[in-house]
Amino acid sequence: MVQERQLVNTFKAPPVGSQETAANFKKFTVERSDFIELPGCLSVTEIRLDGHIIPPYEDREVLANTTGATKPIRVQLYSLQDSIHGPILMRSEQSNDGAWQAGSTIWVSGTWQDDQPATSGKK
Amino acid sequence: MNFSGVNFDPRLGSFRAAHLSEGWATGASPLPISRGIYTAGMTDDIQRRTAMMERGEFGGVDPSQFLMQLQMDVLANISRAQTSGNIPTRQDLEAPATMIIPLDTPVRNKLPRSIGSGLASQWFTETSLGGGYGVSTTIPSGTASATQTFANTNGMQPGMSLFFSLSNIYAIVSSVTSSTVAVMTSSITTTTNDVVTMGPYAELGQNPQQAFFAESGAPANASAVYLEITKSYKLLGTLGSITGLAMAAGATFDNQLAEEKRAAIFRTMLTEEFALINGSSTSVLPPFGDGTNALGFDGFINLISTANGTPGSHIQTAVGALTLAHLDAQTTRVHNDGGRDQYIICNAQESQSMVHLATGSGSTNRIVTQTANITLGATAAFYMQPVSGQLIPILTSRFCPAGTILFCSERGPDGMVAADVRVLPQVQLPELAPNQPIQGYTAQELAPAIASPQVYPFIVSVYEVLRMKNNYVFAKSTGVTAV
Repeated sequence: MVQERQLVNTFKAPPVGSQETAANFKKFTVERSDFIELPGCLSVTEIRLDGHIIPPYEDREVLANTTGATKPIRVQLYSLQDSIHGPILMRSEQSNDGAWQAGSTIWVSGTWQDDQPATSGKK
Repeated sequence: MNFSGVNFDPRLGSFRAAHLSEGWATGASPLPISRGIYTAGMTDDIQRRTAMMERGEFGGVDPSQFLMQLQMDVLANISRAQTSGNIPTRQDLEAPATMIIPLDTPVRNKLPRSIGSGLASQWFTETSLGGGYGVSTTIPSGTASATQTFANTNGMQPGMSLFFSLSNIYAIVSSVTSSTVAVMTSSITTTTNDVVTMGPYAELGQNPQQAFFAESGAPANASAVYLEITKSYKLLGTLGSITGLAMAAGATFDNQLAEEKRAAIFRTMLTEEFALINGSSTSVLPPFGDGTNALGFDGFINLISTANGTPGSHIQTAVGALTLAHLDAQTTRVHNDGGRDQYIICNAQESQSMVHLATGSGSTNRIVTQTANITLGATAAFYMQPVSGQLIPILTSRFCPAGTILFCSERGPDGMVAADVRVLPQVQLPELAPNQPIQGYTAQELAPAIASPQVYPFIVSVYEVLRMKNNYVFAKSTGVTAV
């Protein structure tokens, strides 16, 4: 029996955040689990939660009927919505049960209103 | 390796003596010429007693006692002889090879192994009760309002929570206005063709049918729907070989062929453990295929999917930092959908995260010690199911990818096994044990090739398939990050 050991990279990855800054992300701190306020946000192209990319959707096959046939569906994992709080970022019930982890750091890339400075969020 | 052999003696530090007992047991020469390697180092007394035995003389004692004493003296001499320069012993080797790879297979150990037959396993799964309780309707035209128009309001009543799957929102019914209109307690924005069921913890949404009926009437006609599932057996195994020279070189020390077979069996068992979690019936890449054909079976990660009937809410994607709330939600969903005797499969990363959640700065759990010699750290062995109170075993497997947690159940509420490994026996089973769990592993020696006549090959194989018979009682979380 031969053991094949993988080479281990002993160097740590660069600090999370340097890439987001370079990519013109805006940083927010999650304060409540049900939604994240994104003042001035018009659209979202990418988000990273604690440095990990949350994909905008996941494609799944679901049972279409009782015969076992399946059909493809696209499950949206987050959504930018208007509210009385302004633009808010909602999370799918199928991604951490729809809850944002309070205290986490989220980086948001997208389009923003010109009159909203980049640091006006829950920074 | 055969530990049942009469020539194994732990007093020798696993050193294996010549097969002295072979000749004794059969009545043949006790020390065949080809095995007489130890005679040069034997004391005169032992040689004398050996000669007595060959003449059938036992010195007036019971023959078995004579033989036992002789054997003990011979073995003691062999032990001492290891340091003697004129004894052709090996180095101070131990007979069994040291196993350098972790051999634990917790998932394989957990799953029942039932006996199959034929080329495939086939069963029926009930995909619909045919109607009954609950809510199952749609939104013909989405709108932003507390008043919503449904295809029908069958089953709705004030206080009931509804789940709108496309809009991904919950709402509570305030009143039911008509057979198609109901008012929610707050304004919601629905989507056209939204699918509406009871929720969140009243899934599965059934199609309400008339069940109560008048004296001269009848309940609604409803028929259950069954789906036929077929899973063909897959062949899993490994080839091995041993050369004649290797066997001869180790013949006085250890059974090299048996050693190689043992290694091959372990190799196959570990591959099976890997496949039970990560197996793919569509991948053509090794270990699941030959590069062209997909030959494997689906493991838990692939079987726990909406395509197989697992509810969508059971599949949690891009979860992020692990929280106790998430563990509660997943185990509760599985419980509500009938999962009993749950167990969790996860990577060590998630096990550690659970410990950190239990002992972190925000936790009220504290380790109390009465001495200065404290023990730090903890281990997550069980998770208490918040509804049933069941202690859910946490199976930490290095084969489970980091970031993935599988929530499994041993059985459904009716006691039926939720998942098992169906094994095709390759040998005739005992008639008195027709339904006993079997391992199904066989080691078959193969014919040497002309070009390499003294390379003795063999194959270790098992025919089996992982069957998930109740997809509702499983859940999966991916994209979990360490805390």
